[in-house]
Amino acid sequence: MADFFKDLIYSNDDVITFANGIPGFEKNKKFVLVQIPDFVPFEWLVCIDGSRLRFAIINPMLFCPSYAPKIIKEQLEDLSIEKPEDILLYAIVTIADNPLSSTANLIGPVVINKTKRIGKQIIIEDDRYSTRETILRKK
Amino acid sequence: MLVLTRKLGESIRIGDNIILKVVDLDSRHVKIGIDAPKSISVNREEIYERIQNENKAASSSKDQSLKNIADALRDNKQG
Repeated sequence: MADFFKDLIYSNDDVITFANGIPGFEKNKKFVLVQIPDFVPFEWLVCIDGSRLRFAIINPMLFCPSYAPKIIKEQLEDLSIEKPEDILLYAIVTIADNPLSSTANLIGPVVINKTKRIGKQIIIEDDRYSTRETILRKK
Repeated sequence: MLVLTRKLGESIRIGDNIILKVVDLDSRHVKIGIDAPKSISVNREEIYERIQNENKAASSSKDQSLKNIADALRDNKQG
């Protein structure tokens, strides 16, 4: 399979640091956000340490407009967020065997301070959401 | 694993700045209060494991097939 991300061009300013990695990938700390037209509205969180690790991500509001995760202030403290415009919020996508049944993880949102280029995956305790929320919803 | 016996209201200190305190207990549950630096994330183990497993499943996703659902999502929006 073609590797879309093999020859990524990015500058140091594009690099987002996840100081603790993310659960399951605690050693992978440097990522860039990649948009590819064919995959819009999805984006990619691509690790740049040579591991070929990447995650499909999506703005959860695009398929779940009512999404309002209960985030505790302390969970965001180490992201040094100064204003709401600093925040990018994403859900990590798990692509199912039948891609139309793919899901997004709404209890483990990825929060990025786009100004300071730091991010983390936080875990919310909220019974309304699960790790596998169907993305394509019937109208 | 280190095992310590504690009574209701007693604490355990881990390192310089983490304190676990037995806040309440009955025959089946223990309520534990945790004082830790903000930089340390505290999660129920089974939830952390669920996130770990989901991240691993997501990382081995097939890139190409995401196009199908991307197309469907865009159609959904226009339709």
